[in-house]
Amino acid sequence: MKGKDLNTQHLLEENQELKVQLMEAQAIIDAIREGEVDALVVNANGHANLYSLESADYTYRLLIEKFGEGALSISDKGNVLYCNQYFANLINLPAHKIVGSFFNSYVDSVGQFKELQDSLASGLSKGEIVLNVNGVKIPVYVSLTDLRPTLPAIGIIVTDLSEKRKTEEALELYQRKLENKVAELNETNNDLEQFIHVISHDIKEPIRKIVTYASDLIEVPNEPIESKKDNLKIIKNSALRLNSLVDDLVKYSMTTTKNSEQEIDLNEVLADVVDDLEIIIIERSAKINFRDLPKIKGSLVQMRQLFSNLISNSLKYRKVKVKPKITITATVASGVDASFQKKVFNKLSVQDNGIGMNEENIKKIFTIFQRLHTPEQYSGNGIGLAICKRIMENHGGRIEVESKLNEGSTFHLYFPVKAN
Amino acid sequence: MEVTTGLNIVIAEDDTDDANIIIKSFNRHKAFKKVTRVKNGQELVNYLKDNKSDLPDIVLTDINMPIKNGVEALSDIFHDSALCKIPVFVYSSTISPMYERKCKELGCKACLIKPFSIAEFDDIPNQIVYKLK
Repeated sequence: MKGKDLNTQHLLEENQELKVQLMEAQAIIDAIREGEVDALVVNANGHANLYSLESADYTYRLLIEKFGEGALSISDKGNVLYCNQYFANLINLPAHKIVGSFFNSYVDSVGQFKELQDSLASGLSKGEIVLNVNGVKIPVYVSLTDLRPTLPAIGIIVTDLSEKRKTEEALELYQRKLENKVAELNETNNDLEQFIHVISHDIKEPIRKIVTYASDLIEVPNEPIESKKDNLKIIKNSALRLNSLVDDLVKYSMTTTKNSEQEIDLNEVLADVVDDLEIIIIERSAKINFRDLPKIKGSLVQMRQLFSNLISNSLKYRKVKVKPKITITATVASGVDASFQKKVFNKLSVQDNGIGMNEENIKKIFTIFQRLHTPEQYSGNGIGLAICKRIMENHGGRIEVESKLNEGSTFHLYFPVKAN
Repeated sequence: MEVTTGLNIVIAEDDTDDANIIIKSFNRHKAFKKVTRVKNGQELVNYLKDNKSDLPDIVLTDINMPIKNGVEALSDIFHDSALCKIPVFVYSSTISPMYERKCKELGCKACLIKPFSIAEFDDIPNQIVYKLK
Protein backbone atom coordinates (compact mmCIF):
# COMPACT_ATOMS: atom_id res chain seq x y z
CA MET A 1 0.00 0.00 0.00
CA LYS A 2 2.80 2.29 0.95
CA GLY A 3 4.48 1.43 -2.31
CA LYS A 4 1.29 2.38 -4.20
CA ASP A 5 1.11 5.79 -2.49
CA LEU A 6 4.72 6.40 -3.31
CA ASN A 7 4.02 5.69 -6.98
CA THR A 8 1.02 8.05 -7.01
CA GLN A 9 3.09 10.72 -5.30
CA HIS A 10 5.81 10.33 -7.97
CA LEU A 11 3.33 10.60 -10.83
CA LEU A 12 1.77 13.72 -9.36
CA GLU A 13 5.17 15.33 -9.02
CA GLU A 14 6.04 14.43 -12.59
CA ASN A 15 2.71 15.79 -13.75
CA GLN A 16 3.39 19.03 -11.93
CA GLU A 17 6.85 19.30 -13.54
CA LEU A 18 5.43 18.71 -17.02
CA LYS A 19 2.83 21.38 -16.38
CA VAL A 20 5.59 23.85 -15.49
CA GLN A 21 7.55 22.86 -18.60
CA LEU A 22 4.45 23.30 -20.74
CA MET A 23 3.79 26.70 -19.25
CA GLU A 24 7.38 27.73 -19.86
CA ALA A 25 7.18 26.54 -23.46
CA GLN A 26 3.90 28.40 -23.89
CA ALA A 27 5.49 31.52 -22.40
CA ILE A 28 8.45 31.22 -24.85
CA ILE A 29 6.10 30.83 -27.78
CA ASP A 30 4.12 33.84 -26.57
CA ALA A 31 7.32 35.77 -26.07
CA ILE A 32 8.46 34.87 -29.60
CA ARG A 33 5.06 35.89 -30.91
CA GLU A 34 5.21 39.18 -29.10
CA GLY A 35 8.74 39.75 -30.29
CA GLU A 36 10.14 39.77 -26.78
CA VAL A 37 12.67 37.04 -27.37
CA ASP A 38 15.92 37.90 -29.03
CA ALA A 39 17.73 34.66 -28.40
CA LEU A 40 17.37 31.16 -27.06
CA VAL A 41 20.01 29.20 -25.25
CA VAL A 42 19.66 25.48 -25.66
CA ASN A 43 21.71 22.99 -23.73
CA ALA A 44 22.86 20.22 -25.99
CA ASN A 45 25.36 17.59 -24.93
CA GLY A 46 26.70 19.85 -22.20
CA HIS A 47 27.26 22.79 -24.60
CA ALA A 48 25.16 25.91 -24.66
CA ASN A 49 23.95 26.68 -28.23
CA LEU A 50 22.65 30.17 -28.88
CA TYR A 51 19.83 30.68 -31.36
CA SER A 52 19.08 34.34 -31.90
CA LEU A 53 16.75 36.24 -34.28
CA GLU A 54 19.78 38.31 -35.30
CA SER A 55 21.31 35.25 -36.88
CA ALA A 56 18.20 33.61 -38.31
CA ASP A 57 14.75 35.01 -39.19
CA TYR A 58 15.73 38.60 -38.64
CA THR A 59 18.25 38.44 -41.50
CA TYR A 60 15.48 37.34 -43.84
CA ARG A 61 13.14 40.03 -42.61
CA LEU A 62 15.84 42.64 -43.00
CA LEU A 63 16.72 41.33 -46.44
CA ILE A 64 13.13 41.62 -47.66
CA GLU A 65 12.74 45.04 -46.06
CA LYS A 66 15.95 46.57 -47.48
CA PHE A 67 15.85 44.67 -50.74
CA GLY A 68 16.54 46.64 -53.93
CA GLU A 69 13.38 45.14 -55.38
CA GLY A 70 9.74 45.50 -54.43
CA ALA A 71 8.45 42.66 -52.25
CA LEU A 72 4.92 42.07 -51.08
CA SER A 73 2.48 39.39 -50.20
CA ILE A 74 -1.20 39.40 -51.07
CA SER A 75 -4.04 37.33 -49.72
CA ASP A 76 -6.21 34.95 -51.74
CA LYS A 77 -8.67 37.78 -52.09
CA GLY A 78 -5.99 40.13 -53.43
CA ASN A 79 -5.46 42.38 -50.37
CA VAL A 80 -1.91 43.44 -49.70
CA LEU A 81 -0.78 41.74 -46.47
CA TYR A 82 2.74 43.14 -46.46
CA CYS A 83 4.87 45.38 -48.66
CA ASN A 84 8.45 46.52 -48.29
CA GLN A 85 9.70 50.09 -48.41
CA TYR A 86 11.06 49.74 -51.93
CA PHE A 87 7.62 48.94 -53.29
CA ALA A 88 6.10 51.81 -51.33
CA ASN A 89 8.70 54.17 -52.81
CA LEU A 90 8.16 52.74 -56.28
CA ILE A 91 4.46 53.57 -56.34
CA ASN A 92 5.01 56.67 -54.20
CA LEU A 93 2.52 55.79 -51.42
CA PRO A 94 3.18 55.18 -47.69
CA ALA A 95 3.44 51.48 -46.84
CA HIS A 96 0.66 51.63 -44.21
CA LYS A 97 -1.78 52.85 -46.88
CA ILE A 98 -0.81 50.04 -49.23
CA VAL A 99 -1.33 47.28 -46.67
CA GLY A 100 -4.95 46.22 -46.73
CA SER A 101 -5.70 47.74 -50.15
CA PHE A 102 -6.26 45.65 -53.26
CA PHE A 103 -3.11 44.98 -55.27
CA ASN A 104 -5.18 45.14 -58.48
CA SER A 105 -5.90 48.81 -57.79
CA TYR A 106 -2.25 49.50 -58.69
CA VAL A 107 -2.25 47.33 -61.81
CA ASP A 108 -2.87 48.77 -65.28
CA SER A 109 -2.83 45.46 -67.14
CA VAL A 110 -5.18 43.55 -64.78
CA GLY A 111 -5.82 40.84 -67.36
CA GLN A 112 -2.13 40.07 -67.66
CA PHE A 113 -1.74 39.87 -63.89
CA LYS A 114 -4.72 37.53 -63.64
CA GLU A 115 -3.08 35.25 -66.20
CA LEU A 116 0.10 35.19 -64.12
CA GLN A 117 -1.93 34.34 -61.01
CA ASP A 118 -3.73 31.55 -62.85
CA SER A 119 -0.51 30.02 -64.12
CA LEU A 120 0.79 29.82 -60.51
CA ALA A 121 -0.90 26.43 -60.21
CA SER A 122 1.73 25.02 -62.58
CA GLY A 123 4.63 26.43 -60.53
CA LEU A 124 6.59 29.69 -60.47
CA SER A 125 4.99 32.46 -62.49
CA LYS A 126 6.91 35.40 -63.97
CA GLY A 127 6.17 38.12 -66.44
CA GLU A 128 5.92 41.78 -67.32
CA ILE A 129 2.96 43.90 -66.28
CA VAL A 130 2.30 47.62 -66.03
CA LEU A 131 1.45 49.33 -62.76
CA ASN A 132 -0.74 52.42 -62.80
CA VAL A 133 -0.77 54.60 -59.70
CA ASN A 134 -2.78 57.81 -60.05
CA GLY A 135 -2.16 57.79 -63.78
CA VAL A 136 1.59 57.21 -63.54
CA LYS A 137 2.43 54.07 -65.47
CA ILE A 138 5.33 51.95 -64.33
CA PRO A 139 6.50 48.95 -66.33
CA VAL A 140 7.55 46.15 -63.95
CA TYR A 141 8.67 42.57 -64.00
CA VAL A 142 6.89 40.42 -61.38
CA SER A 143 7.77 37.02 -59.99
CA LEU A 144 4.94 35.24 -58.12
CA THR A 145 5.38 32.52 -55.47
CA ASP A 146 2.51 30.53 -54.01
CA LEU A 147 2.84 30.48 -50.19
CA ARG A 148 0.10 27.86 -49.73
CA PRO A 149 -0.45 25.53 -48.00
CA THR A 150 1.66 27.20 -45.26
CA LEU A 151 -0.12 30.54 -45.77
CA PRO A 152 -3.21 31.37 -47.85
CA ALA A 153 -1.22 34.05 -49.76
CA ILE A 154 0.98 34.85 -52.74
CA GLY A 155 4.45 36.39 -52.51
CA ILE A 156 5.37 38.88 -55.24
CA ILE A 157 8.79 40.29 -56.16
CA VAL A 158 8.49 43.44 -58.25
CA THR A 159 11.38 44.69 -60.46
CA ASP A 160 11.13 48.24 -61.78
CA LEU A 161 11.67 48.27 -65.57
CA SER A 162 11.32 52.05 -66.08
CA GLU A 163 15.04 52.63 -66.59
CA LYS A 164 15.40 49.54 -68.70
CA ARG A 165 12.45 50.57 -70.82
CA LYS A 166 13.90 54.06 -71.26
CA THR A 167 17.19 52.56 -72.40
CA GLU A 168 15.35 50.21 -74.71
CA GLU A 169 13.33 53.04 -76.19
CA ALA A 170 16.46 55.15 -76.66
CA LEU A 171 18.10 52.17 -78.34
CA GLU A 172 15.12 51.61 -80.61
CA LEU A 173 15.08 55.27 -81.57
CA TYR A 174 18.79 55.12 -82.27
CA GLN A 175 18.28 51.99 -84.33
CA ARG A 176 15.53 53.61 -86.36
CA LYS A 177 17.67 56.70 -86.95
CA LEU A 178 20.52 54.47 -88.03
CA GLU A 179 18.28 52.56 -90.42
CA ASN A 180 17.06 55.84 -91.92
CA LYS A 181 20.63 56.98 -92.34
CA VAL A 182 21.54 53.70 -94.05
CA ALA A 183 18.57 54.05 -96.40
CA GLU A 184 19.60 57.64 -97.13
CA LEU A 185 23.15 56.53 -97.82
CA ASN A 186 21.99 53.76 -100.13
CA GLU A 187 19.91 56.27 -102.02
CA THR A 188 22.88 58.63 -102.31
CA ASN A 189 25.00 55.72 -103.52
CA ASN A 190 22.43 54.81 -106.15
CA ASP A 191 22.20 58.43 -107.27
CA LEU A 192 25.96 58.58 -107.44
CA GLU A 193 26.17 55.37 -109.46
CA GLN A 194 23.56 56.72 -111.84
CA PHE A 195 25.41 60.02 -112.02
CA ILE A 196 28.73 58.31 -112.82
CA HIS A 197 27.09 56.29 -115.62
CA VAL A 198 25.65 59.44 -117.10
CA ILE A 199 28.75 61.61 -116.85
CA SER A 200 31.05 58.86 -118.04
CA HIS A 201 28.88 58.56 -121.13
CA ASP A 202 28.81 62.28 -121.84
CA ILE A 203 32.56 62.64 -121.29
CA LYS A 204 33.37 59.60 -123.36
CA GLU A 205 31.44 60.76 -126.40
CA PRO A 206 33.70 63.74 -127.30
CA ILE A 207 36.78 61.67 -126.42
CA ARG A 208 35.67 58.95 -128.80
CA LYS A 209 35.15 61.52 -131.54
CA ILE A 210 38.59 63.02 -131.04
CA VAL A 211 40.21 59.58 -131.28
CA THR A 212 38.10 58.54 -134.28
CA TYR A 213 38.88 61.62 -136.35
CA ALA A 214 42.51 61.81 -135.28
CA SER A 215 42.96 58.13 -136.25
CA ASP A 216 41.55 58.91 -139.65
CA LEU A 217 44.18 61.64 -140.10
CA ILE A 218 46.99 59.29 -139.10
CA GLU A 219 45.83 56.19 -140.96
CA VAL A 220 45.25 57.88 -144.31
CA PRO A 221 48.41 60.00 -144.50
CA ASN A 222 48.59 60.63 -148.22
CA GLU A 223 45.50 62.79 -148.52
CA PRO A 224 46.07 66.56 -148.52
CA ILE A 225 45.39 68.18 -145.16
CA GLU A 226 42.82 70.54 -146.77
CA SER A 227 40.49 67.61 -147.46
CA LYS A 228 40.68 66.71 -143.79
CA LYS A 229 39.82 70.13 -142.43
CA ASP A 230 36.46 68.83 -141.25
CA ASN A 231 38.24 66.24 -139.09
CA LEU A 232 40.21 68.97 -137.38
CA LYS A 233 37.10 71.06 -136.85
CA ILE A 234 35.33 68.11 -135.22
CA ILE A 235 38.34 67.39 -133.03
CA LYS A 236 38.47 71.01 -131.91
CA ASN A 237 34.73 71.17 -131.20
CA SER A 238 34.84 67.91 -129.27
CA ALA A 239 37.68 69.24 -127.13
CA LEU A 240 35.74 72.46 -126.48
CA ARG A 241 32.65 70.48 -125.55
CA LEU A 242 34.71 68.39 -123.15
CA ASN A 243 36.05 71.59 -121.62
CA SER A 244 32.62 73.17 -121.10
CA LEU A 245 31.33 69.86 -119.74
CA VAL A 246 34.05 69.86 -117.08
CA ASP A 247 33.28 73.52 -116.23
CA ASP A 248 29.60 72.73 -115.79
CA LEU A 249 30.31 69.62 -113.75
CA VAL A 250 32.44 71.70 -111.39
CA LYS A 251 29.55 74.17 -111.00
CA TYR A 252 27.14 71.32 -110.40
CA SER A 253 29.35 69.68 -107.78
CA MET A 254 29.77 73.05 -106.03
CA THR A 255 26.04 73.15 -105.41
CA THR A 256 26.00 69.87 -103.49
CA THR A 257 25.94 71.69 -100.17
CA LYS A 258 24.69 74.98 -98.96
CA ASN A 259 27.70 77.04 -98.04
CA SER A 260 27.53 80.04 -95.70
CA GLU A 261 23.98 81.17 -95.05
CA GLN A 262 23.17 84.87 -94.95
CA GLU A 263 20.29 87.24 -95.47
CA ILE A 264 20.01 88.00 -99.16
CA ASP A 265 18.05 90.74 -100.88
CA LEU A 266 16.91 89.10 -104.12
CA ASN A 267 16.49 92.56 -105.74
CA GLU A 268 20.24 92.99 -105.37
CA VAL A 269 20.93 89.49 -106.69
CA LEU A 270 18.80 90.17 -109.78
CA ALA A 271 20.51 93.52 -110.35
CA ASP A 272 23.92 91.80 -110.22
CA VAL A 273 22.82 89.04 -112.59
CA VAL A 274 21.39 91.53 -115.09
CA ASP A 275 24.67 93.41 -114.86
CA ASP A 276 26.68 90.25 -115.58
CA LEU A 277 24.53 89.38 -118.58
CA GLU A 278 24.51 92.97 -119.90
CA ILE A 279 26.19 92.23 -123.24
CA ILE A 280 23.82 89.47 -124.29
CA ILE A 281 20.79 91.39 -122.96
CA ILE A 282 21.65 94.44 -125.10
CA GLU A 283 22.54 92.24 -128.09
CA ARG A 284 19.14 90.56 -127.99
CA SER A 285 17.19 93.70 -127.01
CA ALA A 286 15.80 91.87 -124.00
CA LYS A 287 13.67 93.48 -121.29
CA ILE A 288 14.04 92.21 -117.75
CA ASN A 289 11.57 93.45 -115.13
CA PHE A 290 11.58 92.80 -111.41
CA ARG A 291 10.64 94.67 -108.28
CA ASP A 292 9.62 94.18 -104.65
CA LEU A 293 11.38 90.85 -104.38
CA PRO A 294 11.72 89.46 -100.84
CA LYS A 295 14.77 88.88 -98.71
CA ILE A 296 15.60 85.25 -98.07
CA LYS A 297 18.15 83.31 -96.02
CA GLY A 298 20.57 81.36 -98.15
CA SER A 299 23.79 81.16 -100.10
CA LEU A 300 24.57 84.30 -102.12
CA VAL A 301 26.77 82.41 -104.61
CA GLN A 302 24.02 79.88 -105.25
CA MET A 303 21.30 82.53 -105.60
CA ARG A 304 23.37 84.31 -108.26
CA GLN A 305 23.93 80.98 -110.04
CA LEU A 306 20.20 80.16 -109.86
CA PHE A 307 18.92 83.40 -111.39
CA SER A 308 21.80 83.59 -113.84
CA ASN A 309 20.90 80.12 -115.16
CA LEU A 310 17.18 80.88 -115.40
CA ILE A 311 17.64 84.22 -117.17
CA SER A 312 20.32 82.81 -119.50
CA ASN A 313 17.91 80.01 -120.40
CA SER A 314 15.11 82.46 -121.18
CA LEU A 315 17.49 84.47 -123.35
CA LYS A 316 18.72 81.32 -125.08
CA TYR A 317 15.35 79.71 -125.81
CA ARG A 318 13.83 82.89 -127.21
CA LYS A 319 11.45 83.07 -130.12
CA VAL A 320 12.87 84.10 -133.48
CA LYS A 321 12.23 87.79 -134.21
CA VAL A 322 10.59 88.38 -130.81
CA LYS A 323 12.37 90.55 -128.22
CA PRO A 324 12.81 88.50 -125.07
CA LYS A 325 10.78 89.78 -122.13
CA ILE A 326 11.47 88.31 -118.71
CA THR A 327 9.40 89.25 -115.66
CA ILE A 328 10.23 88.21 -112.10
CA THR A 329 7.44 88.58 -109.53
CA ALA A 330 7.04 87.48 -105.91
CA THR A 331 4.09 86.39 -103.79
CA VAL A 332 3.59 84.51 -100.55
CA ALA A 333 2.12 81.03 -100.90
CA SER A 334 0.97 78.28 -98.56
CA GLY A 335 -0.49 74.83 -99.14
CA VAL A 336 2.50 74.11 -101.36
CA ASP A 337 3.85 71.31 -99.21
CA ALA A 338 1.36 68.44 -99.13
CA SER A 339 2.53 67.20 -95.73
CA PHE A 340 2.79 70.69 -94.16
CA GLN A 341 -0.25 72.57 -95.46
CA LYS A 342 0.40 75.54 -93.19
CA LYS A 343 4.03 75.99 -94.21
CA VAL A 344 4.52 79.40 -95.82
CA PHE A 345 6.71 79.98 -98.88
CA ASN A 346 8.07 82.97 -100.75
CA LYS A 347 7.06 82.16 -104.29
CA LEU A 348 9.09 83.75 -107.10
CA SER A 349 7.98 83.40 -110.69
CA VAL A 350 10.32 83.91 -113.63
CA GLN A 351 8.18 84.32 -116.72
CA ASP A 352 9.42 84.55 -120.31
CA ASN A 353 7.93 84.85 -123.80
CA GLY A 354 10.23 82.24 -125.33
CA ILE A 355 9.64 79.03 -127.28
CA GLY A 356 8.19 77.11 -124.33
CA MET A 357 7.95 73.33 -124.40
CA ASN A 358 5.58 70.41 -124.70
CA GLU A 359 3.88 69.31 -121.52
CA GLU A 360 5.28 65.79 -121.89
CA ASN A 361 8.83 67.13 -121.75
CA ILE A 362 8.34 69.23 -118.63
CA LYS A 363 9.38 66.56 -116.16
CA LYS A 364 12.60 65.83 -118.02
CA ILE A 365 14.16 69.26 -117.98
CA PHE A 366 15.49 69.18 -114.42
CA THR A 367 17.38 65.92 -114.99
CA ILE A 368 21.09 66.31 -115.56
CA PHE A 369 22.23 65.92 -119.21
CA GLN A 370 18.64 65.72 -120.37
CA ARG A 371 18.18 67.94 -123.42
CA LEU A 372 15.22 68.81 -125.60
CA HIS A 373 17.31 70.09 -128.51
CA THR A 374 20.20 68.95 -130.66
CA PRO A 375 23.50 70.81 -130.25
CA GLU A 376 22.95 72.28 -133.72
CA GLN A 377 19.73 73.95 -132.58
CA TYR A 378 20.88 75.13 -129.15
CA SER A 379 24.27 74.52 -127.57
CA GLY A 380 24.50 73.32 -124.00
CA ASN A 381 25.27 70.35 -121.77
CA GLY A 382 21.91 69.92 -120.05
CA ILE A 383 23.24 70.85 -116.62
CA GLY A 384 21.80 74.36 -116.00
CA LEU A 385 18.34 73.41 -114.75
CA ALA A 386 19.72 70.42 -112.82
CA ILE A 387 21.85 72.96 -110.94
CA CYS A 388 18.76 75.15 -110.30
CA LYS A 389 16.86 72.16 -108.91
CA ARG A 390 19.73 71.29 -106.64
CA ILE A 391 20.09 74.86 -105.36
CA MET A 392 16.38 74.98 -104.51
CA GLU A 393 16.63 71.64 -102.68
CA ASN A 394 19.63 72.95 -100.74
CA HIS A 395 17.45 75.84 -99.61
CA GLY A 396 14.63 73.55 -98.47
CA GLY A 397 12.47 74.64 -101.37
CA ARG A 398 11.69 73.51 -104.86
CA ILE A 399 11.38 74.54 -108.48
CA GLU A 400 8.48 73.93 -110.82
CA VAL A 401 7.71 74.96 -114.36
CA GLU A 402 4.60 75.87 -116.30
CA SER A 403 4.98 75.96 -120.04
CA LYS A 404 3.19 75.80 -123.35
CA LEU A 405 4.90 75.23 -126.66
CA ASN A 406 5.39 78.56 -128.48
CA GLU A 407 3.88 80.48 -125.57
CA GLY A 408 6.79 80.77 -123.17
CA SER A 409 7.67 79.26 -119.81
CA THR A 410 7.25 80.30 -116.18
CA PHE A 411 9.60 78.89 -113.57
CA HIS A 412 8.23 78.96 -110.02
CA LEU A 413 10.67 78.99 -107.12
CA TYR A 414 9.45 78.19 -103.61
CA PHE A 415 11.57 79.35 -100.66
CA PRO A 416 10.34 78.28 -97.23
CA VAL A 417 9.75 81.22 -94.88
CA LYS A 418 11.51 80.37 -91.65
CA ALA A 419 9.59 81.04 -88.46
CA ASN A 420 11.57 83.29 -86.13
CA MET B 1 25.57 30.59 -149.03
CA GLU B 2 22.63 32.91 -148.71
CA VAL B 3 23.45 36.52 -149.52
CA THR B 4 21.39 39.23 -147.85
CA THR B 5 20.61 42.21 -150.07
CA GLY B 6 18.18 45.09 -150.45
CA LEU B 7 17.86 45.90 -146.76
CA ASN B 8 16.09 49.06 -145.63
CA ILE B 9 17.44 50.59 -142.40
CA VAL B 10 16.40 53.59 -140.29
CA ILE B 11 19.07 55.11 -138.04
CA ALA B 12 18.23 57.39 -135.09
CA GLU B 13 21.29 59.55 -134.35
CA ASP B 14 21.28 63.09 -132.95
CA ASP B 15 24.99 63.73 -133.53
CA THR B 16 25.65 64.95 -137.07
CA ASP B 17 29.30 63.82 -137.13
CA ASP B 18 28.45 60.29 -136.04
CA ALA B 19 25.48 60.22 -138.40
CA ASN B 20 27.73 61.13 -141.36
CA ILE B 21 30.11 58.27 -140.61
CA ILE B 22 27.49 55.62 -139.93
CA ILE B 23 25.38 56.52 -142.97
CA LYS B 24 28.48 56.22 -145.19
CA SER B 25 29.31 52.85 -143.64
CA PHE B 26 25.84 51.51 -144.44
CA ASN B 27 25.81 53.01 -147.92
CA ARG B 28 29.14 51.31 -148.67
CA HIS B 29 27.78 47.93 -147.52
CA LYS B 30 26.33 45.76 -150.26
CA ALA B 31 23.49 44.35 -148.15
CA PHE B 32 21.81 47.74 -147.66
CA LYS B 33 19.72 49.46 -150.29
CA LYS B 34 18.05 52.28 -148.36
CA VAL B 35 19.45 54.22 -145.38
CA THR B 36 17.28 56.80 -143.60
CA ARG B 37 18.37 59.04 -140.70
CA VAL B 38 16.13 60.50 -138.01
CA LYS B 39 17.45 62.83 -135.28
CA ASN B 40 15.98 61.44 -132.05
CA GLY B 41 13.68 58.85 -130.50
CA GLN B 42 10.55 60.89 -131.08
CA GLU B 43 11.33 61.28 -134.79
CA LEU B 44 12.05 57.56 -134.99
CA VAL B 45 8.68 56.56 -133.53
CA ASN B 46 6.88 59.12 -135.70
CA TYR B 47 8.67 57.86 -138.80
CA LEU B 48 7.72 54.25 -138.11
CA LYS B 49 4.08 55.13 -137.42
CA ASP B 50 3.92 57.17 -140.64
CA ASN B 51 5.41 54.34 -142.71
CA LYS B 52 3.49 51.32 -141.48
CA SER B 53 2.88 50.18 -145.06
CA ASP B 54 6.60 50.30 -145.84
CA LEU B 55 8.38 49.51 -142.58
CA PRO B 56 12.20 49.24 -142.53
CA ASP B 57 13.87 45.84 -142.18
CA ILE B 58 16.09 47.10 -139.35
CA VAL B 59 16.21 49.97 -136.84
CA LEU B 60 19.50 51.19 -135.33
CA THR B 61 19.24 53.74 -132.53
CA ASP B 62 21.62 55.73 -130.36
CA ILE B 63 20.70 55.86 -126.66
CA ASN B 64 21.43 59.42 -125.48
CA MET B 65 19.32 61.72 -127.58
CA PRO B 66 17.24 64.79 -126.79
CA ILE B 67 13.44 64.78 -126.40
CA LYS B 68 13.07 60.99 -126.51
CA ASN B 69 16.08 58.76 -125.94
CA GLY B 70 16.76 55.41 -127.57
CA VAL B 71 15.45 53.32 -124.67
CA GLU B 72 12.18 55.25 -124.55
CA ALA B 73 11.77 54.83 -128.31
CA LEU B 74 12.59 51.12 -127.97
CA SER B 75 9.84 50.83 -125.37
CA ASP B 76 7.31 52.55 -127.67
CA ILE B 77 8.23 50.19 -130.52
CA PHE B 78 8.10 47.12 -128.26
CA HIS B 79 4.59 47.99 -127.06
CA ASP B 80 3.20 48.71 -130.53
CA SER B 81 1.90 45.50 -132.13
CA ALA B 82 2.46 46.89 -135.62
CA LEU B 83 6.10 47.78 -134.92
CA CYS B 84 7.33 45.24 -132.41
CA LYS B 85 8.45 42.76 -135.08
CA ILE B 86 11.11 45.11 -136.51
CA PRO B 87 14.57 44.01 -135.35
CA VAL B 88 16.03 46.91 -133.32
CA PHE B 89 19.73 47.41 -132.60
CA VAL B 90 21.06 49.88 -130.05
CA TYR B 91 24.44 51.57 -130.19
CA SER B 92 26.11 54.11 -127.93
CA SER B 93 29.48 55.38 -126.65
CA THR B 94 28.93 53.53 -123.38
CA ILE B 95 26.18 51.19 -122.31
CA SER B 96 25.71 50.61 -118.59
CA PRO B 97 24.73 47.08 -117.55
CA MET B 98 21.43 48.55 -116.34
CA TYR B 99 20.65 50.01 -119.75
CA GLU B 100 21.75 46.84 -121.51
CA ARG B 101 19.37 44.77 -119.36
CA LYS B 102 16.55 47.21 -120.03
CA CYS B 103 17.21 47.08 -123.79
CA LYS B 104 17.18 43.28 -123.81
CA GLU B 105 13.91 43.27 -121.88
CA LEU B 106 12.45 45.52 -124.57
CA GLY B 107 13.34 43.05 -127.29
CA CYS B 108 16.48 44.72 -128.62
CA LYS B 109 18.54 42.36 -130.82
CA ALA B 110 21.93 43.58 -129.62
CA CYS B 111 23.68 46.50 -127.91
CA LEU B 112 26.70 47.73 -129.88
CA ILE B 113 29.42 50.10 -128.69
CA LYS B 114 30.31 53.07 -130.90
CA PRO B 115 33.85 52.35 -132.11
CA PHE B 116 36.97 54.53 -132.00
CA SER B 117 37.82 54.46 -135.74
CA ILE B 118 36.05 54.92 -139.05
CA ALA B 119 37.22 51.45 -140.17
CA GLU B 120 35.46 49.92 -137.19
CA PHE B 121 32.29 51.87 -138.01
CA ASP B 122 32.35 50.02 -141.34
CA ASP B 123 32.09 46.78 -139.38
CA ILE B 124 28.77 47.73 -137.74
CA PRO B 125 26.65 46.80 -140.82
CA ASN B 126 28.47 43.42 -140.88
CA GLN B 127 27.65 42.79 -137.21
CA ILE B 128 24.01 43.68 -137.77
CA VAL B 129 23.63 41.46 -140.83
CA TYR B 130 25.36 38.62 -138.98
CA LYS B 131 23.11 38.92 -135.90
CA LEU B 132 20.01 39.19 -138.07
CA LYS B 133 20.44 35.62 -139.34
